[in-house]
Amino acid sequence: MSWHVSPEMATSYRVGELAGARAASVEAHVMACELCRTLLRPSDTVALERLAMIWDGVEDQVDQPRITFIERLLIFCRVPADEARLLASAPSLQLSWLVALLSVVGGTSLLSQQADRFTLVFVVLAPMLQVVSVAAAYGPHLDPTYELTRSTPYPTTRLLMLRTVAVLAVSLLLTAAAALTLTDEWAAVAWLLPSLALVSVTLLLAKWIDLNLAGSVVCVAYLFAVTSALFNDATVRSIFGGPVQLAAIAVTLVCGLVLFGPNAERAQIRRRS
Amino acid sequence: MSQGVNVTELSKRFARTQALDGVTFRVGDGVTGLLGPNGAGKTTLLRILATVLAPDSGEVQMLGLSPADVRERQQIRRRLGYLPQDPGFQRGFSVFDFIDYVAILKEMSNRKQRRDEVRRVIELVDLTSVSGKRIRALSGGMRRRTALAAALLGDPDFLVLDEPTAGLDPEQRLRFRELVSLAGEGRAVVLSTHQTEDVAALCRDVVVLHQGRIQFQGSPSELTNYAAGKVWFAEQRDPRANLAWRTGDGRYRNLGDPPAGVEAVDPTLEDGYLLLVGLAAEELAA
Repeated sequence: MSWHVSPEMATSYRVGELAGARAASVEAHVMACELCRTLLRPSDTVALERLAMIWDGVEDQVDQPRITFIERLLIFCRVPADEARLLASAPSLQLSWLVALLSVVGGTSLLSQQADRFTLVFVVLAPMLQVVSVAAAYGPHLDPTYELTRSTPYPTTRLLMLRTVAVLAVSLLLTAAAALTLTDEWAAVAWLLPSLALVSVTLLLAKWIDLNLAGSVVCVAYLFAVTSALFNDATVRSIFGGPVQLAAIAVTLVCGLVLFGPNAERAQIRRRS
Repeated sequence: MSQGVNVTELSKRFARTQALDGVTFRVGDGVTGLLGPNGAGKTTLLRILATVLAPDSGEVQMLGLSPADVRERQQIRRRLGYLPQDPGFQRGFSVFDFIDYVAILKEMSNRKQRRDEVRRVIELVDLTSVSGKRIRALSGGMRRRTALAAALLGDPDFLVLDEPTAGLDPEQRLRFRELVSLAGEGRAVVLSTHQTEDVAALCRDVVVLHQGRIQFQGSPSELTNYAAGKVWFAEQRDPRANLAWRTGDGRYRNLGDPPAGVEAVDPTLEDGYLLLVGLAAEELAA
């Protein structure tokens, strides 16, 4: 052999300071030279630390969890990565759910361009869809890891509320986008306050029954209340007029006070299964 | 050494069904097996021990803490590992994703430490080669091991395993037994199973539950001895036997009070369990 790796060159190689061509020469040489191979063994702390760092980086790349679109969106909105993962796992934040929601509100708003009665259908459906989305965010029947989640120290109430906020934000945004296409300006906003009122009642009921069931109870009661009006040639203004909007504000405030007020027993929200 | 689990007069009712009826027992360090037929109340009991479900009445003390108190319940959960009977998985998650997700729920906030811990438990259940695979593409046994790995996160002081060997092949079951017996050193492990072989191989104590009541608590050998002198072979099903079945060699294995003159054979744990549960069912019917 014409040359051997000098101790200085070996040190430079170990700490990653040797340029590409020279590093390649060293690598080719040590394949055949046992003597020089010993020089390159990570014998000092710097080399061992660097090796550990590189290995950690490789492991991190290999084990990088798959990040969904919703998770990316939450991280973009400054939600910490760990919580973004917990929120994005909500059944009603899955892409399939959001596509279904968009299809219903988008389809109904498009139909309202053809026939006025679909405007009323949109305004009746919109609050119920918000309730269904929130009710599906967490609970024994739709969340596959519900049972396991309940046995972990992560606060259930926190998870429930965080998911509610995330789901509502996305769901309201999609519904509002569809509502913009409605020609009746009152109809375009009339669904919003009743939506908040129904969601508040659902969350309040979750103190005693599980969230999935609470959502079902609220939806059935709401449908029962509006069905009779629908059969009597009702209009958006006659069902969702001023008094109903005021009542919705009152219900939201009362529920909010019970849930988050000074005497709220937040930790007492029951999570039956 | 953990402080174990004390259960006193525990009752739980679902509508018209009395799932647990005054259950009292103690679990110390080591593996305790919970045996019982379907509908005996095993899963209800384990869900209460896993702090997922609250009892209607009675008292539970785990690791010296009471799950009835909100703060103590949080402390218990920090030291608890739970494998549900039917663990669900988030759609699209890989093995690593799922265990990392559970680790976040277990308050492991340091990303480096969390991922190291996730890798450790994946290696423990021998799933390193498939850690990047989607769970829905895995076999039932591998899914079960994934859920077991999640239960082992953070080296918990108390493990609750609901039918952990369901769906595992014999080789996997052997590996599982090795894992659980190691886990049972210096901590309390409660596992429910239909497999009396698992109890015989693993457990220091066994509790037999039938229709919400405890029928037996003791060591596996004591349960085996319950059938001592009550097992015999015959060419025909003996009408005096409480239970009988045809074995591979064509003879009938009879359990019950043997007639005079027949030679009793050594009982197995399964004989003891079947006799106990069979007699309990007869008593309840009467």
